[in-house]
Amino acid sequence: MQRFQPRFPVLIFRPLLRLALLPLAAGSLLSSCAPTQTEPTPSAGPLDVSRYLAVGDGYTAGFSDGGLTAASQEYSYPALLARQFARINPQAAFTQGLLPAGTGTGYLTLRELNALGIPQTSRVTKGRAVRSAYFVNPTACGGPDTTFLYAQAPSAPLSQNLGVPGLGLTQVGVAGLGNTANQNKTGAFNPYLERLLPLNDNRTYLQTVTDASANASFFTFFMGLGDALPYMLNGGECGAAPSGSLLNLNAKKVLDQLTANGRPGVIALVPSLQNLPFLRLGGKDGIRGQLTQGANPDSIYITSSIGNVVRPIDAGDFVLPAGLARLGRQETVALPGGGTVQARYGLSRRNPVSRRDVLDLNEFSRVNSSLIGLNTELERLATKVYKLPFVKLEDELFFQINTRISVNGVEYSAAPVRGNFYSLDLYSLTPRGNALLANAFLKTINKSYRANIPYVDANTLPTTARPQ
Amino acid sequence: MTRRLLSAGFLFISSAAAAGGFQNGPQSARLLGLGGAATAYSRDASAIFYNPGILGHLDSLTHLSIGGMGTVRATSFLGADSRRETRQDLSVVPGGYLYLTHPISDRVKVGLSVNTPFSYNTKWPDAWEGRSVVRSASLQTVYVQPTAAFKVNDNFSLGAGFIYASGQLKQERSLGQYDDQRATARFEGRGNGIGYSLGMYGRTGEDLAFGISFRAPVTLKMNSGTATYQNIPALDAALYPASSKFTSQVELPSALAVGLADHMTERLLVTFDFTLTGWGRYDSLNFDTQTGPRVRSKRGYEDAMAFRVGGEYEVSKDLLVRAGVSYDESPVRDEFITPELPDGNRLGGSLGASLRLNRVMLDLGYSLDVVGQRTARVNRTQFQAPSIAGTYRTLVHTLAIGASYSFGSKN
Repeated sequence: MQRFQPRFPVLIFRPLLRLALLPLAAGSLLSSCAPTQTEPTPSAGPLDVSRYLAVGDGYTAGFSDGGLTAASQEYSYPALLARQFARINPQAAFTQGLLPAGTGTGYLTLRELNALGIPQTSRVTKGRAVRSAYFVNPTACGGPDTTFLYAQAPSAPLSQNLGVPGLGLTQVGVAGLGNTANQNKTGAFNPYLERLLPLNDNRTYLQTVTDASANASFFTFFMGLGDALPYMLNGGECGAAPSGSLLNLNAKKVLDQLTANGRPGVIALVPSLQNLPFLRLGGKDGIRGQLTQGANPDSIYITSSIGNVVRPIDAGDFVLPAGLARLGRQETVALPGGGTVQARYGLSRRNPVSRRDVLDLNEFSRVNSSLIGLNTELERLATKVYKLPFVKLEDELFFQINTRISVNGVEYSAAPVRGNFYSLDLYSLTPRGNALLANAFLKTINKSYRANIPYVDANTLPTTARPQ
Repeated sequence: MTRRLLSAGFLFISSAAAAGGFQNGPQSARLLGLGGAATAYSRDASAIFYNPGILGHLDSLTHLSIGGMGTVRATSFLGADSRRETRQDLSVVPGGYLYLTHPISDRVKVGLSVNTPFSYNTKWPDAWEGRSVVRSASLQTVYVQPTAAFKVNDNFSLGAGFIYASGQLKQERSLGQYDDQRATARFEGRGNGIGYSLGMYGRTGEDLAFGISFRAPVTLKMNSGTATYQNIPALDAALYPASSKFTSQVELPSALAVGLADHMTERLLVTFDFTLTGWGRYDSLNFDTQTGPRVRSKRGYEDAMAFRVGGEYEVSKDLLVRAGVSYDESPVRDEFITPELPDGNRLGGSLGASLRLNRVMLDLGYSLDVVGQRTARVNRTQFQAPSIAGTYRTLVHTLAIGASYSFGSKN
């Protein structure tokens, strides 16, 4: 009633409004006549989703904002999927190796979003769930590297979320990768796997998956990005690009175990690498052109991985975020013949973008061709060998995110921070991003298994897993 | 059960296009009972609004008719993604009317019409899944129309009126991109506009009457609306200013109607109407803000037809009873169904009565409209047209009570 305030004929209307009170009162009685709609009963069709096993890398673990925390694990896509499965079967149990509440392995916080929209972050190490001694490798590629041991998860039974940050398909056969005793073996030790296994356990990841799957009724498989990320994040300077044939071989080994005894599941095909924000921002469509201070974008100079030569930037090169932050900065450069000169970083032949700050087209092509080959192999395995559904994450989600989507009125995009999809490290996902990823899996499950599982409402989840 | 049958039949019909838009029920307790078939119905002063031509043929008395109306639009939504049902909060749309006619001479009559022909008031629960599309939205309008009519001869008259319309629009949605559930965008504006109305009325013999009327479209111009953004995080405070002004235009449709009224027997009058409502001009609703983001939303309404049939039976000198049936096509196309006004083709049934109490006629009318089930399919990559996927089912109840009085009548 109060909302109705006609400006013009107030005087004439007063008696009318009084008369209207009667219908209003009657109207409230009638409101009980609103038509009802029956909510469909959630169903998994022929699937038994009561014992779900998730296999993957950091994306599966729930890695977000540059770290794994107890909070980010709660929003991993397997945990969100399990929540939906529980709506079908309340007995469905999903236990993942959670870090102690309120702790994690460190994470990034946002200091500010700079004028170009690049998040400026700080690393928070408070509340790190470390145990016993750490190991420092002073000669690690890219500077000294510290390897911690993290709070252990119960290992009997094994975690149903076998997502391990930093794990690549190429490593699934490495014995002792999670053996506590190997803490100081750089490149052959993964502390995230270690904390899921019993102390000093020498099992390979493949064996771990084999053991865990014995008890599983359904699986999801999403691996591959874990192989590409370490190489790309270091500008192709630390280690070799993953071998395509080894990726394919190991994917089959893992899937052979997961699909044993006709176990149903969904196989994910990895999204395109060049659209991950840490590459895209410094790619040809990104913001690097805005950083040349009026000069032609081609006047960015990089140090090529081939022959270590200085050359103008190519459309296929990617300047990494560290390089973008430094690009155009006035610096003092030592000349080969002695003496110094002032030169802007990346805008002068005398001060080119360093090899670590750029993933050049050759490096990119090396890792990209391996991952494209993996996708082809995964699709072949899914359709020809295992006869299982697969989800093309690029088509179903990541490409859409690049061009922006609206989910029930809320926009999600690849934009750092405001896009609400990618977290501050510019490649892992926010809790809401994980919800959309879970929905991509659910869509495939619903379609392929004639299931009717409700989707996750991404808009109700936090925009970040870090403490606010 | 009946309702289920009705809506089942509806599904069948409603495949073509979407219905009634935000048109309020017939603006008179008598017309409501008659299913709204008004264009050739000369027994009510509401004729001023529905066909000014009839005014010329009214008798030599001064008639006053006033009343109040209440409309409840009860909608339920079943989310395609969530598989959950959400019911709209109860909101009654109040309305009212006043009609006054006065003879200047045998041939010239004047009249005044004040009513509330267009309105909606949609309220969803605060935390419902589509809160970032719309949480609440309302429009209230008042039409004031001084009218004059001229009786050309005993069988034919013409009339015209000038329309002054004012309206108030409100919209609220949640800004779900933020963690703070209280982050809200609110738009509020008032505006007014003018238009006109033309009509002709004729009789062929004693039994049959016909009418044609045209009501011009009205554009409500809102020149100083207010856009308010609340609880925006500091990072984005500059993007969403706490308060800014906007201008907007709300397009209210024209209506072209033809109607027939036939005395089937001495006591039974049957009326029939066909109306073409010019919703097509309501293409979008935009808020052009001075600062902050511009808000554009596509409506894409289409012109819509309505068919109405009503019967009035004279039980005695002091009691008239009415019944009516109407079919109202929705102007909302499938791809533009949003929770703001999830409209559909409507099939309505109505009942009414007029009872003489001393010198006053007491008028009552009630109608129930069953709105065809609408299914909104959403392509999330069309981020410019945010909506939520699911099915809507709606019932519309309208109740009107009025009184009419004729000055100088012998009774």
